Amino acid sequence: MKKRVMILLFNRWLAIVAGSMILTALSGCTIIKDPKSLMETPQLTSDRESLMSVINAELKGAQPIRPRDASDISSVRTPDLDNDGVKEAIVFYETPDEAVRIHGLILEQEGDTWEPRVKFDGEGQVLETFQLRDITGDGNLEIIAGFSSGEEDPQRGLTVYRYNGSEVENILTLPYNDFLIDDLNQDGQLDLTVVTLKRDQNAMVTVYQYDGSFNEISHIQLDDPIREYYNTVSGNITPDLKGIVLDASFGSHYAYSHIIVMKDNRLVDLLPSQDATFKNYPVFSGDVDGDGILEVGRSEKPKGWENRPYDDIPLFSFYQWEEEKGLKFVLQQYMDLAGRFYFNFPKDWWGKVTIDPKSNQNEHLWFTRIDNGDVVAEISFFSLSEWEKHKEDWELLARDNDKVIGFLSHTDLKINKGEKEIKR
Amino acid sequence: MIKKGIGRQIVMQYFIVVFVTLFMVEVIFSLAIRVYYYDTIYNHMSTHSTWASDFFQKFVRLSSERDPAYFTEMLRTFELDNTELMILNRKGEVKASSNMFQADKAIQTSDVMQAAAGNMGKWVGRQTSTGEMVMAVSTPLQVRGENRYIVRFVTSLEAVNANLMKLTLFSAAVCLAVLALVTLFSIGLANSIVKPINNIRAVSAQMAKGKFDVRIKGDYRYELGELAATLNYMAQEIVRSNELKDDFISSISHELRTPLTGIKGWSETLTLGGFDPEETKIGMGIIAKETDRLIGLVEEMLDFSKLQRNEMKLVIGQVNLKELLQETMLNVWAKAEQKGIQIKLEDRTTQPVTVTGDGNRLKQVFLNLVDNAIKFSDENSWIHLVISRTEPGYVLVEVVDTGIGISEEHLNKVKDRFFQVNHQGGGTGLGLAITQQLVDLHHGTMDLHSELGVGTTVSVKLPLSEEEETGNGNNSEPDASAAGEAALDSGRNDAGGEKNGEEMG
Repeated sequence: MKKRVMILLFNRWLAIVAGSMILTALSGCTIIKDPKSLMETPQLTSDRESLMSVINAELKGAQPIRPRDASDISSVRTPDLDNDGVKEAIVFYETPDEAVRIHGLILEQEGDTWEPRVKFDGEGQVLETFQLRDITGDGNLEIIAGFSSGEEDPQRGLTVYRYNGSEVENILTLPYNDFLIDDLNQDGQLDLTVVTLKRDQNAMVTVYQYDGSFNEISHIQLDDPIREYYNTVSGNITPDLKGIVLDASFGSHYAYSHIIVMKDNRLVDLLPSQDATFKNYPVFSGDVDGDGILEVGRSEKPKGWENRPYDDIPLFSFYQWEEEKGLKFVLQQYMDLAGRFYFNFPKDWWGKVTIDPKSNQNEHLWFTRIDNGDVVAEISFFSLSEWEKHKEDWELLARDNDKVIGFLSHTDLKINKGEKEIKR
Repeated sequence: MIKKGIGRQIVMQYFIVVFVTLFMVEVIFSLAIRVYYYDTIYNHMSTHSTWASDFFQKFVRLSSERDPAYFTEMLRTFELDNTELMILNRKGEVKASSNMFQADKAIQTSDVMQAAAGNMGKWVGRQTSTGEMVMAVSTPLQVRGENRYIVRFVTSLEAVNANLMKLTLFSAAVCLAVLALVTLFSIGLANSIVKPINNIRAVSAQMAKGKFDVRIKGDYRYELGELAATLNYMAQEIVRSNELKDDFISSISHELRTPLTGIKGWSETLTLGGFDPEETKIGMGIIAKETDRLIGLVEEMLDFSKLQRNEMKLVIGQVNLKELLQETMLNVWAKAEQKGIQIKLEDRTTQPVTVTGDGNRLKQVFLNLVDNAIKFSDENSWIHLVISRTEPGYVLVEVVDTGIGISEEHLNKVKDRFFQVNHQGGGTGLGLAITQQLVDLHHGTMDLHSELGVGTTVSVKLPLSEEEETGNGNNSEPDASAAGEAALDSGRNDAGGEKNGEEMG
């Protein structure tokens, strides 16, 4: 018995010795490292890895650049440009000390590796965008690149490159402010819509199509003495007709929209008047409700707000164009002008519910029925501590570091944020 | 290899215990260090992510996703060294990535799902494209009060796992080294236990063969030490009892020869002497006396062997102890008178004392004791017989003399069979041994107190008979019956002294 206890004690002692030996050994040498120092950027696929190494070798220290384009900021793209079943890679890069600052490089895949094929020059200082579309209708992708000087001046240069497997040909160079690639005349071949703007004077929308070279199909001049179109979008204006919507901003934060439709290969401005689409805040037009047809937004004065300035109005309505009838109401949305939250009006509120004019948009909002003044819903701003008291009843609409915005429905309505947020 | 036996067993036990211990330590260590590494990395990414989204919402907050620099700015804000940063929308589609390429498909790993549901998500797994182990941490990013984007950091765990593997192997190696060391240790330890055992075993084997002069040497501790001492003592006792037996045989031969010599001498004398009636009378008297002595000797030995084999039959009856003691005194009166010794009975009880037992055997006990007392007392001295009741249910009889006494070294041995302090005195050395056994048979105890040159006291304690008990006990001790009963069974064999180990004869 005594012996067994002794053995046990001895074993425990051994374990302690062993443990401390391990610890000493481990702390003494470099085998224990800071876990953070062992983090590594994940590998690219071997394919991409080899492409990157070829590109880096080829660029000799120059940096690949990303286009300043929110829709796609990737700098290396690997399409099949010349439709020969072999992938090409396109990358733009910057050589700040050379006369020509921006260059493009095309590589072609050869088995497991990539072979540099051709380098070509870009324009300007900054790569605004580059897209790969078959704009000539020959089955091959063209490189459509937009360049700018990098200044605030929105004047830009558009270049379309064509790659034939061995060299790059520059098939179009145009000044532009915005361009859109779509098939506006619906002939099955993409066309190029270019918007150019003479600052504070007027604007020109021109549609080109490629037929051996780029030819103008139609153009229209807009008398907009503005500084920029903050949003341009193309698509179906009606179920049959395609066109573009231009959102023009003026003043400090006012805006209005143009709906331009292509009808019989001619551009028609459906809304020459600025008043029909006036908005006190530059909301974005587009396919807001997801039905495939574009909507334009405009400010909506809630009932009872007649005496309040336009600047305060937080209610926006969206309209589609209907042939022969004009604008058709589609959707209404409360949008916090400080950008903290938004809230889609449910269908049965349309025209029946207003925002109580005594509402303070930074504290408390009451949504009341127009006919009898009943409150149907409230939105309130809470401090975090207040929120703890109210969170049983109120629905969370938004939360940030120092406040919570809650929604309280007096009917069985749930907040509907949905996916239909109107871009701004 | 260690040969089979306790040694190997001990080593194996050590090995198993240490192995299991180290194995568990190793497993726990590996798991803990893995958790530590993964958690640190996760925390690094999640803290950065939280911080950056806070910063983004407070300061960067770009007006529009249409701003051409929106994602570039976002990437710059969230960028974290050694990770791939992705900005996803709620469906998991990659809107921007810190690598240069376009992402091909939406990401549907659990971290993204969790982030889409509004929580921070973590995922550890293999990239489908590269098969690389990665950790992904996704955080929802609020824009306008809504989780519009998911910020996803991905870092490779390959280096971490390699390091973890290295750590595990290293610690396993350390464990193995420790295990080897401990095994060596345990061999040494096992030897320290096995060696004495082997030594003791060898010596005891020799003892079994009859060599009782060998002794276990070495200073062993604890149980082994006790075992060795016990064996040594046993051997010593065997030797001693052999010596006693030899002594007995020589003394008994002597005892037998003395009367036989007398008988033979006288019978020859009588045969040759022409049967002078006077001479014949003396001779026949001596022959009869010597024969009595021989019979006494043989009876004593017979008694003893009966006692030894538990064949002694007691004729149980009620014995009046006082009467018995008086008879005893009368029996030895003549012998005492010869030496001028006075025997006195000192009665310290008020009532008659009755014990259950064999009257003859009890008488034999006291005769023997008093006889011994007379034998070893000086002339003209006193012998006291004291009868008293010192504890309930028992009677105590003390035989006190002022004789030569017994030295301390002999006091322990006088009750042994065949032991005699002085072989010249004659006798078998069985007297006290028989007395002791008779007392034991009556459930009594016998103690010896003696001092050399001062005298000896022999105390015999006997249980009272039950009638005596019930007759006497109820006015003094209500519990006496039970106590007496219990004491009856606990006949003790304590070593004690006697006067001299002399026989009764």
